[in-house]
Amino acid sequence: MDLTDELERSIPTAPIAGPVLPSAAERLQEGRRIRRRRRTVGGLGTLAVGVLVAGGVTLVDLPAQQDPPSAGGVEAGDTDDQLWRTMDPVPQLQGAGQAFYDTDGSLVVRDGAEVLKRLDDLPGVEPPVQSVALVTRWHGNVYWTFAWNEGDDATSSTVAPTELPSSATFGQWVADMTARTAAEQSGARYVTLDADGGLVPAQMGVVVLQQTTDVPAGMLREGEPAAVGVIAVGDAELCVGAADGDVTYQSAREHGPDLSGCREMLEGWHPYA
Amino acid sequence: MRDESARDRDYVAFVEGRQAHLRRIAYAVTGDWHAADDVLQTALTKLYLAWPRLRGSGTEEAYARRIIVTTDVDRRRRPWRRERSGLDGLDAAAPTGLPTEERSALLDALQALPTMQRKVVVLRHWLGLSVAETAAELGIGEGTVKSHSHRALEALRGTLTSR
Repeated sequence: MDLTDELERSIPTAPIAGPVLPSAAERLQEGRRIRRRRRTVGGLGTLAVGVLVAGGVTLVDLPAQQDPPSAGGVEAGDTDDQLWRTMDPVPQLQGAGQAFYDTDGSLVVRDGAEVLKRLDDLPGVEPPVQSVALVTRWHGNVYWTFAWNEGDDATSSTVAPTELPSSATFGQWVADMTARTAAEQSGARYVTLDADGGLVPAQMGVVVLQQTTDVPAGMLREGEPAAVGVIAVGDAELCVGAADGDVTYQSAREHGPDLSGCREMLEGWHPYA
Repeated sequence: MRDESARDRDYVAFVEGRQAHLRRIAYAVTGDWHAADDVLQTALTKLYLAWPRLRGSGTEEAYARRIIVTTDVDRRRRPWRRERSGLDGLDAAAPTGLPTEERSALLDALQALPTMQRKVVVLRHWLGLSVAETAAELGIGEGTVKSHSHRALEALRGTLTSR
């Protein structure tokens, strides 16, 4: 009697009744949703808005043009928080979001926003991904925006530099966002986790600046190492969360700049989703 | 064609081809279709997140299978049920197993095994993994795999010989 054959006969292939398996397309959408959620975890003063497109058709209703937001009587010099509360009819431009990639690959900048500086196709983000970094002025406030577009998944993040917890320059913040995006794009890892929960550089030029195994509860898994850290990758400084075979990166200039800020940012991250 | 689109197409193709088999593995280790579907969703989501580095490596299925095994360990170990990624409208109630008369004695005996013994049987004796591969997927030593296998086969022997 062959045990393999017996098991093959005994283990059912599907329940007799009940739900059918979700389609592969639904699995894909769920994976994308979790990935977008990871990208937007934390975010003091940050707007990170994903745009999903399936089969070339935009899933959100996107007007070709929109009026400058006037609801709420936003005036020059209003705080970012006031602007955040301003309802905008364009889903991609909630709050103070300044720009996003449209489905045809063109960059849409918010009406009324003045572009003070624009950097296209940032080094480190490999084609065919499009990327841009902008400095804009809108209602008297200055914003930094980083947007990238993979065709069917586009993301835009905007920060008000005056609200960052660090005194970062635009160039430093862009370096952070570029390094983070490059890792997401390629799946490359800057660090790995050893058996004791220590972050170890996985590439030349990566330096672990700070780290701790005192991680948020959501990252903990019995018997598995986990760590939070701050690393330098060239000019970039990144918050790192590592657990259960997963690693996530965020800008340390935006969420850090030290361990306590990174740890707080990772309160919402669950590595095993 | 953008690389992202090709990447996602490959993921969809993999899921279409393998998710029914992976669900069956999840059922074999959990003994419950609800739990199997939970574990499978978690595994496929994590696989998607890791897809850029796994795609084309030949390890995609092993990665998903390992998550199924380790996620189930986690689910059973915790006193509470973790919030999971779900798909709206697809979580309707389902039978949690076969009707009693349709469950085989061997399946019952398999489910009655201690968790790690059951997983060793599934990986080693159903899926045909080597001792070393089974040890790697379960994160235990090869000697431990052999001892679990020995005890599990002894426990199953009565069921097998009585058929």
